[in-house]
Amino acid sequence: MKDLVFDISLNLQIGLEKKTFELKSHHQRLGIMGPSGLGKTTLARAVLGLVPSSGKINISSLSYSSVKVWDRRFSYVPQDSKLIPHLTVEENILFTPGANLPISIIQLLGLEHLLRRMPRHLSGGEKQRVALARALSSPGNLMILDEPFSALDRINRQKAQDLLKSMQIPMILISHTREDLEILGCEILNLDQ
Amino acid sequence: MMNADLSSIIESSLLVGFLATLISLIPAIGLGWILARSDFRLKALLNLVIFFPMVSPPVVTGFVLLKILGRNSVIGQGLGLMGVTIPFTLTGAVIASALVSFPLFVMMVRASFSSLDRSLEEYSLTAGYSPWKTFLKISLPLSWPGILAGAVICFARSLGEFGATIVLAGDIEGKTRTISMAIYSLLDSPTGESQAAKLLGYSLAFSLTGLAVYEFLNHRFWKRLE
Repeated sequence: MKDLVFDISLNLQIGLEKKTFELKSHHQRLGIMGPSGLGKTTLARAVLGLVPSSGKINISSLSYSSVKVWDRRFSYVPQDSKLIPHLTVEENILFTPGANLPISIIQLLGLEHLLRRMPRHLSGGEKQRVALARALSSPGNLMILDEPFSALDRINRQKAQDLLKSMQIPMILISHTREDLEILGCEILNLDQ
Repeated sequence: MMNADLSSIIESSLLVGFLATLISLIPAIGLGWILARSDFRLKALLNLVIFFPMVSPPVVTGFVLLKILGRNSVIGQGLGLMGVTIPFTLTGAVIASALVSFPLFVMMVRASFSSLDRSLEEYSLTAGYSPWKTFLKISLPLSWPGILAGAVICFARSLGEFGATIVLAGDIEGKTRTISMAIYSLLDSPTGESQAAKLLGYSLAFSLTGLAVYEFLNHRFWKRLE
């Protein structure tokens, strides 16, 4: 039988509760959904190594549990699309070591005219597109996207979804809408159940 | 007061202000970071040691320094063997000034690091930068206005330092006499008031220049973000 792409079992502190999350899937794309407050973002941050947790993180048969955050090479689109304020859009996209400017992605996401701008002058949707371009320019071993379409209009949402569909690396998508996860062909884990 | 005396006084003052700021820079950044970001058992004690000179009378700080670095102390004797003398030298004036202004520097840097958006540093870690590289690429550049403000305040405070400096370095004409000490001496003489006013003008000019440089660089920083 094919090896699991995701074999994650994490014990986490969510608010006052201790919870155990099991993410097991043969699919390249795993979607996590559920209402606010169930720990979707905390779970993503634990996989990234940003919050303390115990358990195992195996992605494509490689164990990352004891790998330092900066050595995991996971790309991340945070929920609020945080961009680095003292860098231009272009510098933000190229921030990850070894990243190349992905011209086709930049054109598809309509970012050509924004490359020299500073992040404070971007709208929420523009910031989200830059955050996506940044993650796509250096996808690493895993992509974690936390509500990556929340600020996008219908056209840009579709373009972003097409781009993500073309990526051939493991991906964890967090969303509170099932539709986004279904479009991307994710195996869906509903934390509410 | 001769012109040569005036230039020696101004030179000593600027040198003390500049060197006190320079030697404080790295420790202020390091300790500001530790106080903003770390939690450890002896943190309260570290706070006490750093901020003590801010609440103690400067003369007391000078006296403590004299006891620690004076010729009869263990450290003073050790330094003496290496040919280094601290009391009643310009080095002593720099150390006294730096110590008195250091807490203000650390306070500004700590506030700056505390107000940083931690999610940007987290993002840098996930992008593949180690904590040290993240500090250099994210934390330090974004804290630049606070560090700059701390440096300007440290410089201005060092320039005007009197109490601790006069105890440790003395008021030696042509050697350790700074603007503050010269003003004090001149006010003691019946004809010194006009010359004291002249020095006061210089002192104010240097402090205002420091503030203007800060405003200029700070403005450039925010302009860069636009």
